[in-house]
Amino acid sequence: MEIIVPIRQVPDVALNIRVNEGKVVEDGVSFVISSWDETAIEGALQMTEELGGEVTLLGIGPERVSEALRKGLAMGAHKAIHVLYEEGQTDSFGYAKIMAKVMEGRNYDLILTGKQAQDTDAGLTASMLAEFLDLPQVTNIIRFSDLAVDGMTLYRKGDHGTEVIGIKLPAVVTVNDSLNEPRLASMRGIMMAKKKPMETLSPSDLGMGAEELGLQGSMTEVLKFEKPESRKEGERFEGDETETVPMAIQKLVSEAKLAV
Amino acid sequence: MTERMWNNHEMRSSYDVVIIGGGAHGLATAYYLAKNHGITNIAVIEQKFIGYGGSGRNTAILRSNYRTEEGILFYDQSLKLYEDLAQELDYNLMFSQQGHFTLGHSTASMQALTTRAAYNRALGVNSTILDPPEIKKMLPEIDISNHPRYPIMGALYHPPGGIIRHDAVVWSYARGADQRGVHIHQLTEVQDILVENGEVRGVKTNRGTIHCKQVVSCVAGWSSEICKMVGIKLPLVTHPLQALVTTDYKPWLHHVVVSSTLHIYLSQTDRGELVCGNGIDHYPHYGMRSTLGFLESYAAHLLELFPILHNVTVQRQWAGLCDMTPDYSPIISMVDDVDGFYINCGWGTWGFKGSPASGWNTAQMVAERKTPDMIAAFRHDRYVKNRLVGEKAAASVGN
Ligand SMILES: Cc1cc2nc3c(=O)[nH]c(=O)nc-3n(C[C@H](O)[C@H](O)[C@H](O)COP(=O)(O)OP(=O)(O)OC[C@H]3O[C@@H](n4cnc5c(N)ncnc54)[C@H](O)[C@@H]3O)c2cc1C
Repeated sequence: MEIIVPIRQVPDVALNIRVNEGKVVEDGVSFVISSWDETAIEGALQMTEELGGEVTLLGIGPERVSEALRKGLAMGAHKAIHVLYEEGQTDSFGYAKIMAKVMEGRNYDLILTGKQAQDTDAGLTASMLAEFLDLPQVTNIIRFSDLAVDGMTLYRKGDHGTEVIGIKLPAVVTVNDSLNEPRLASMRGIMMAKKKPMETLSPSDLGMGAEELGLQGSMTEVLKFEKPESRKEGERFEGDETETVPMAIQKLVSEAKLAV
Repeated sequence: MTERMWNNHEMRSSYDVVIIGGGAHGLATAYYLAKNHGITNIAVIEQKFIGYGGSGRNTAILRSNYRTEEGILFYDQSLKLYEDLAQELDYNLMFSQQGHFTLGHSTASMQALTTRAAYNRALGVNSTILDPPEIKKMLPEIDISNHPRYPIMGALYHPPGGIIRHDAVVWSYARGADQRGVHIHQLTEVQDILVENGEVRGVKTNRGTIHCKQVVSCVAGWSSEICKMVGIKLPLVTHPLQALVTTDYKPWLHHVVVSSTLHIYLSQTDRGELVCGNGIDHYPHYGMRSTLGFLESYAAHLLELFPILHNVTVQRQWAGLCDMTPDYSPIISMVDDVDGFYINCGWGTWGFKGSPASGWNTAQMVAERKTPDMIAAFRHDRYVKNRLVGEKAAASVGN
């Protein structure tokens, strides 16, 4: 089974993200693979371990994206495609368009990716890609079974239960993070990743012109980022509760405007 | 209710001594000022949280097998203070004196290691040279064949060296200082140092001004910034240093192993993880970013030493800042032009092991307003007087 896993590199959310003049400050930020995409890599590896075949990673973005791809290769993916892309702001539509171009003429049975990216949380790219490629799609899977090269059973999580869906391949499938626990890279995996094939393409290699890239190739524009307001420090009342409880109630009424 | 390790206090408008930096050096200085000299009206000012800097990010290798007389005596004092510290601070610091190997892969490095062993022994520090079969006896998994690019020719073995739980050192010094009346102010950043007529008058912080006559800077990787505030320029360059920890394995590595030719070191914690690191990133930077390049070079070199580790998986990686000095020795010094200002820095990649002796001697220097003999060689003006304390051979990757 040939699987292509589009992955997105996002700022490490464990770190403090700084925003300056409506833009995220990239200087000093560590970038990681979006966690749902890591789950997709793990899922794809498990499928090829069972059925044979190869996992190809696809990353779109500046030079730093090659690090995310090499990390995925260190986990065990077989090869990678890096679309070296410096066009700045691009929305899900723009990225899906580029992906669709990459897929042209390639041989694949499945496109497996995260249900959304950790930074934008938009969750649109995979669906748009399926539309461009005119492929069936299933989103948010938590399990798969009955694996075969022409189809499988997928378990899709909804609010009130699980849908069990049969699907014919090729298809686009997105994963929920409860699908698996992504493996950690081993020392040997990290070493071998350096030697695995990485194909680097530019948008012009894909036959894409300026009108299809960046903001011009997007249907929406992010005007600015705003950080959530930091919460005001709480107040502690220490001492005997016969005194502190009335004090706290008094504050709740006067400041939090609580009706008693 | 659980007992707090240290307390929050209102910030006073004046203290006798202000220590900038809540790392092991700042906290140890506060602790020994209180304990040895009875000075307790002290504030430790920390911009983030205690242990935010190198003290919470290091790989906790302790040893005293240095190269110069000044270095050996200083780190020996530090190691001896560490030996009694758990008892003294009533905290399990998990100090394991499991022995420390520095591998030699060339004739030149074997000569350097042999000289170090001789200097160490002359000053009463236990160090010996081992040949490859002796190494193999203690580290059965190591590859001593001549297959690797840099075959192992021997090692400097230092039995008292080992590892400690670094966070516990920070926390217990903080608790010890707090119990003696020291105020620890976290989330407080020093933004300027007030100097009038060549004398320290106080510090300006984001939470207001504090008046004081003595300020000790213990900010390691941020030292150039603090020194700028009083107009001193030190030959310090800040570089990132990275480390990683693997998932946990049953205990198999019972000693610390360092190879400066391969630029790597590793040890195994009581929890079973391998704690690994290599040399500094080659670019000066204040960013604490982990890189894939570090992982790749570490993996390649590790597998040369221990081929059996190919399936070991990496759990986490991180970075910290190192204030590198030209001679790889620290700067612990009064400053002639600014009365009441003391610098404690230049701890580079090697400073955690120095924390107790650094705190002890810095406290003495502040209390007596003169330089103790033990640290006389570490004055800041040694660079203009051409009196360097060259420890590069013993300090670089060896941490
Ligand atoms: C990855 C790594 C591995 C290492 N391994 C070892 C090892 O194995 N053995 C060893 O001996 N050493 C090792 N070191 C070196 C060691 O960590 C440091 O030398 C040591 O911890 C320095 O301690 P410190 O207290 O001087 O500074 P730090 O612990 O860095 O503390 C300085 C503090 O100052 C605060 N600060 C800075 N500016 C301001 C300001 N303006 N206002 C208020 N606060 C401020 C910072 O937030 C920080 O908490 C390693 C370092 C790293 C990064």
